[in-house]
Amino acid sequence: MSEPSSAGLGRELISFRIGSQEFCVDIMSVREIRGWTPATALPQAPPFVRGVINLRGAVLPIVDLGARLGLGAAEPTARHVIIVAQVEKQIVGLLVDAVSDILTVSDDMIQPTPDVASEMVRNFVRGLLAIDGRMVSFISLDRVLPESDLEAAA
Amino acid sequence: MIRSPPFSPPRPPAAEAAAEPELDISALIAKAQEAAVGDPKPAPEPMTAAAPDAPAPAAQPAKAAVQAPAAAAQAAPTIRVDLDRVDRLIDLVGELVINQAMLAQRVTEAGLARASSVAMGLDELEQLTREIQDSVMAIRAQPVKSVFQRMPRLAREVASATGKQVRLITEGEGTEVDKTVIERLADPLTHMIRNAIDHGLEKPEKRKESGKDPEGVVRLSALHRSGRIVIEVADDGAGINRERVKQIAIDKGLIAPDAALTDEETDNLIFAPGFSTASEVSDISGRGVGMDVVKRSIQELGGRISITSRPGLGSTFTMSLPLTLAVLDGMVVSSGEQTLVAPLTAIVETLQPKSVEVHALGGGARVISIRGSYVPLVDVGLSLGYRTEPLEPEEGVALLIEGEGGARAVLLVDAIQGQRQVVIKSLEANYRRVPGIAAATILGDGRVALILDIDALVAASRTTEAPRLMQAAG
Repeated sequence: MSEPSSAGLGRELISFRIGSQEFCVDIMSVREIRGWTPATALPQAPPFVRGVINLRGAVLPIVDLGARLGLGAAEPTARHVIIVAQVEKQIVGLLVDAVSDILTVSDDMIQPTPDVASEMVRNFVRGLLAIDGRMVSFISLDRVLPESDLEAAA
Repeated sequence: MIRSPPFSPPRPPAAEAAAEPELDISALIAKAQEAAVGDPKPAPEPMTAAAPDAPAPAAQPAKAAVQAPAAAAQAAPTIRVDLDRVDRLIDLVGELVINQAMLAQRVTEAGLARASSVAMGLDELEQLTREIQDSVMAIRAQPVKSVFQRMPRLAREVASATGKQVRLITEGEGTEVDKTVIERLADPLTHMIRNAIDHGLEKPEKRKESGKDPEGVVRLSALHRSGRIVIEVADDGAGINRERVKQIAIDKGLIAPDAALTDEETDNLIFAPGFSTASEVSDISGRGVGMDVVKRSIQELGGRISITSRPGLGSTFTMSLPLTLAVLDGMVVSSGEQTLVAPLTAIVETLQPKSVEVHALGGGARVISIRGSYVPLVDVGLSLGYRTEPLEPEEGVALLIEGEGGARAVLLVDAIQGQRQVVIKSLEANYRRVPGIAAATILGDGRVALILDIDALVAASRTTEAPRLMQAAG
């Protein structure tokens, strides 16, 4: 009945909130969502890496996504949420304020990112979505972890 | 076990069993052997096919059926499994143990009585998890026999090359230990057997002079002791010539000429890098690799090695190794707000430092004097960035550690929480290498604790380059 969208199949995105802004990521990269648990700080880590937690035996680094995106560091409470996401071969936990919704969108609903000066936008935002009058930024997680010692040293 | 010719059937033809219903099992086997010898081509009749025809009492085929698997057990069926799968299982069981401990802790906190059904159920669960852990670990375990088997030949070769008479006695060949440990045990063990014969045992004439059997005995034994495997190489030779060891150490500049050493400390000098007591270099054991290499390879396996020696009676090298490389004996310490784990094998001793023993050396570096020698002091919290101000020595506890190649340093931490066996977890799998940190582990409360990289910390205390590298990586 529903004709397959000419702009490609619909995709599901999971949207979440950091401060007053809304973001979303592809649901296929999300493994699970869990509550905040205190992390063990890592020495010599960039400020946006909160540390590591135990995810059923695996050591999971936690990235404060707000800090990573330049929105300021979070002060995590029990209400905060960790989105466990797969980024290439690694698994990373993303600390966000709250998960809000699951969106089903087609590719033509994703608007190209307007040119703005922010380096954060260029690095992470793949597109913008207008959902019920709210703006949701579709972000890519490829560069969420500090890439390597090289990047950090540069 | 049935000692029947290989091609005889597991039980005699059905007709015979029927004729003698009271026949006991050994007589049955004897008959089978007779039948096999008598009949040039015994029919390999399957059991199930024979049973319906035989009007024999039911007990008899049943007995025979019990015997048949016993014969098959001679070649126990095995399967080949990917090591990754086993490791994943070991990992998961490790989690199970941690989870069980957490649950037990919560039940205690909830104020439930020890006799309550919940607490008792938990006790049972604990036993069960422990049993599962042991069984899973046993999958990776293999007897040390595969390594011990190579030693008699080595002993013969060394004996004939050195003109000594040796009897090698091996004990505890069935002792099981992790496959990886076994693989990495062969080299140090070879070296130690060589040493025991070449340096330990005297020549036959000399042994006769001192009233000993001209044939020397080297005893290689393995046993389990408190969750570790202990391997001993003992010889009944002359023991360590402490005067000579000390003289060599002084000549090589390893110790000060006026150093007062206990017998034990003197014996341990042979583990010092660059030490060799053989007055002439023989091609058996003097090949530039000394006992320091043995010690290092044992330490890399998370083991310890020690020596006891009695003049005229011989020396015993004792190695204590973990049963598996997936777990590590650690000293749980706290530094700043953080809980850290220091590998127990690297720790020589713990001490309570006094302010007067600590001296500033150059810009920011500190050394501590331990029985007259100055050792670099590493403030763990400071070098890992957990605190900004150096810890006052008297407020903390010091761990004297020995890294690779015998380099010593003192780690200053806030407090010692205790000793624990921890499961090693990779930090690189989902993150990246962290300078000064070897790996991570999960403690009983479910939180991640970091395992210190002793060698990196010691190296950082020795060079000015290392701290800068650590900074850059951050």
